[in-house]
Amino acid sequence: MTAIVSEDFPEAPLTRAREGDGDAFAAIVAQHEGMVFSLAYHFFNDRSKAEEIAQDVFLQLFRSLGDIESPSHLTHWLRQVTSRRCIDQLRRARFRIVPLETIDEPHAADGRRDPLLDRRMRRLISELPDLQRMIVTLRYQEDLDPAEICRVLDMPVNTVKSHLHRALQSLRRRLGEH
Amino acid sequence: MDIEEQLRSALQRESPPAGFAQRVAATAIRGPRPEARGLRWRAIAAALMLTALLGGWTAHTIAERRAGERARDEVMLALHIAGSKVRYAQVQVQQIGSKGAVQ
Repeated sequence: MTAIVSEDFPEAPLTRAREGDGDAFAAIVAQHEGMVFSLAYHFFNDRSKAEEIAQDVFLQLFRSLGDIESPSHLTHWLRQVTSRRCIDQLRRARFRIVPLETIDEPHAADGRRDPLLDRRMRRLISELPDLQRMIVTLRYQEDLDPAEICRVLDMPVNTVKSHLHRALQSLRRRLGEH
Repeated sequence: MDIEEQLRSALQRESPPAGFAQRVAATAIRGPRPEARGLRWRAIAAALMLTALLGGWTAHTIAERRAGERARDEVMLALHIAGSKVRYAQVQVQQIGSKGAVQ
């Protein structure tokens, strides 16, 4: 199966995927897999759990293709469904977060990144409360501003700002302690 | 590096294992297609409607049967009462007849 994303006609894969075209759907998944997988990975700190969540989200997307209106709606839908699924799953199953010592290092290491610093920061993020962790992930992984985050998580913008503020305060304090 | 830069660095997007998109697409295609979803809902709606119609018809039939049974019981009771009165009248007539014969 080849996955080709048409830049000239960004809506074409959506239309073809709605008609049951597997290649078109694979192209959509390939385009968004990094976003969906990373949201779950940074929330759970577990690559296999993140893969499982990402697969469920894309299967749900396939069943909901008729509701997706545009590529931008698709991105918003994926962020919303992934973040809600992560939070719901954690609350429902009381999922045990895997300590960072037991997980693999990130695959794509950028030359400018400091792996030790990243690891330490991810450890501190993993200790944040669920909602703060998701908000911080949406803010700094997806580069969303609080107004966009409030639409994804369906909560008042002031609540998002307050969670973000508390998360940053906590991270600064914990970084100072280490 | 300030804390926001550190967060952006720590939370960079990662890639799922190679072949993820193809595997997910293959799994999705094996399952019910999007248009099949509409068909499934239509089938469920039709089944519900059929059940409701069948239930309504059954309830109507039962009610009619009960009404019929009630009417039959009333007729039987009326016949029973009428029969008793006729028997009483017969006895009275016989008694009058036997008294007349004695005199």
